[in-house]
Amino acid sequence: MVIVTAGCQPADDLEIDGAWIRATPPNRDVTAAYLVIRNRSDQPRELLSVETAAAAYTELHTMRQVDDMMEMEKMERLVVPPRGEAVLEPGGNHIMLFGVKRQLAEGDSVALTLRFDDQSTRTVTAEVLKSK
Amino acid sequence: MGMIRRIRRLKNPQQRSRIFAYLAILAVAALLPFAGCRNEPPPPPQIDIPELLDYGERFGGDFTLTDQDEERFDLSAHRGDAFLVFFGYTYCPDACPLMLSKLAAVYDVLDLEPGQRVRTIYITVDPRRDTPEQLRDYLAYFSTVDVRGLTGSREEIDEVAERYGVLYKLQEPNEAGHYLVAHTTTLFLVDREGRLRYRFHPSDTPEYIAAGVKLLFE
Repeated sequence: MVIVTAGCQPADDLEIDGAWIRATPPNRDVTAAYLVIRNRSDQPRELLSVETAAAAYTELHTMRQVDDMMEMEKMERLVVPPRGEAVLEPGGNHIMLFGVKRQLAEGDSVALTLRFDDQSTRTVTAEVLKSK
Repeated sequence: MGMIRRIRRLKNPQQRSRIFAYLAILAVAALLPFAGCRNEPPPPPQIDIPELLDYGERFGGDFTLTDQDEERFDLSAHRGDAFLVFFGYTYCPDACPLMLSKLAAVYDVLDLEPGQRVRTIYITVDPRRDTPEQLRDYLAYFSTVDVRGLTGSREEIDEVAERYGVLYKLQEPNEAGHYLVAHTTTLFLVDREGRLRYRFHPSDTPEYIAAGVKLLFE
């Protein structure tokens, strides 16, 4: 018996929106990427890593206020709460791109592949902007 | 109309103006019920205005550093101009470009009279990497407003940072030798006499910052 599941596939529980990367000034190989992840499921989900051909490697960072200083701190994972969202935005959590291979100019677009806790991935296109 | 003509005919001007005043009140009263029907934009939100402070001799004050054009910049040579001063570093990928965007927004809402001048200063806490040339490239790229980018020797920077109550810490370099710098992200308001008058939080709105700047010209 063949069970036809096509069309019954539930919509993706994870939705990624508004991805953008800060353009890199001359002689800089570091920048940050921002996006919003919405989780439509009843389970918390975790973003584990982000890969992109545009950079040697990436890290998930959070901002922390320590002794009146803003400090960026690496996160091992980013939790997206059930029926909620994780917002990565300037001044808050963000994706750091290190070893950016060529200058990213406004108008460029860059593919980012996000890996989640179940090892599934989602690839989104991030727009390169000086600011948003 | 006939009524107005009749009033015009009244000889006593005092009596005439009194009647006009009553008519004006009646007209306003008649229109009042419609006031709520007009599709007018809501009044602009109330803008908070910071209360400027006097830090005396303990905090802030003059400094001389090197700008992105390799000229010495001496704050004491700029009496009469107000300053917004912040500390950062050009490898800073997040908080510093964010502050530059915010400063552009401050200038957009700042309604200055001719002759009133507010200048912006960006002091690096990473002078090893931030040479004048690096500052010039970075600011030309990210800033839409005129920002003096200042650097100097580590000792010079430390002295200014200490007087403005700025802390910073070079973080551990990663395997590629890249390091981030944790730093105070306060925006300082310096008045036309070179005195520190307010410490803005990086999340303060452009309107709030602009309102503080305007106070220096009252």
